[in-house]
Amino acid sequence: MKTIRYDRFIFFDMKTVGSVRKLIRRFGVRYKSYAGEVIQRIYHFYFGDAINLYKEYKRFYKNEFENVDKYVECRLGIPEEVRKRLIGNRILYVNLDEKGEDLDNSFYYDDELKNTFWNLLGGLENEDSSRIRYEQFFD
Amino acid sequence: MKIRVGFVTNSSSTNFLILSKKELTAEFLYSKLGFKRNSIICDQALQLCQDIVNGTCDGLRWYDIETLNEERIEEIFGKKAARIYHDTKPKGFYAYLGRTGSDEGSLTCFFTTDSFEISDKDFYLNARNCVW
Repeated sequence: MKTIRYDRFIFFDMKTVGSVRKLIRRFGVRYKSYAGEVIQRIYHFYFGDAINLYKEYKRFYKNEFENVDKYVECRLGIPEEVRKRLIGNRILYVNLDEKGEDLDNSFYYDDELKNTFWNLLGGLENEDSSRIRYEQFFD
Repeated sequence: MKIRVGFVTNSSSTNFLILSKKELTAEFLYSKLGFKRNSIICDQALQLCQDIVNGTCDGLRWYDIETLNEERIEEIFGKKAARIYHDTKPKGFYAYLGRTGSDEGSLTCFFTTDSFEISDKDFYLNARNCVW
């Protein structure tokens, strides 16, 4: 599964993304260096402290919502076209709003650098989150 | 090598201080910043290093320095930088002051908005003076 970004949420599969050491090796920089440090910071910004969707649902929300899909829709406000791609119980997610340092703006300044980063991590699908979605209130 | 990472500042310029045993070149910086020869971002990385080297010709932003001394370094970059300058000066280290801007190359832009310090036995880089 490619990493999916919807608004400030990042959904990903660890198997596709791989470890930070692997990413540093692919970039061709030394681990203990400024360049290595920067890559680690960017990696941890997007993937650090990730939460397993299925486990979170099972542990805290299974009485409230009938299934994971409903939970993702109502609690996180994720639309159907994104939800249907979140298959399997190994999907992790990160809410970038909960990160202290906002690396997003400075990193997203340059398309080439951004594309290199995401291509090394198996690709990114950016979902348009500019529309207000009401579907969750219909049920 | 010790790296002290600060935070991303969104600054439009970063004043930096480099103290180096070797004369500063883009290739030397390339290796000191941790890029390998086969790096997939070697072009951008070399551009960053070249921008830093070129930045040493522009001097500092908002500061006029006629003579470089510990007091001025302490004022701009802090006590630690002044102490390292004091320790390395008798050893014949080269001292460079300069600035990078956020409208240069992609990595240079990131470098400019970042606030950090690299401390090695033969190299010291302080890029913590982020200004607008």
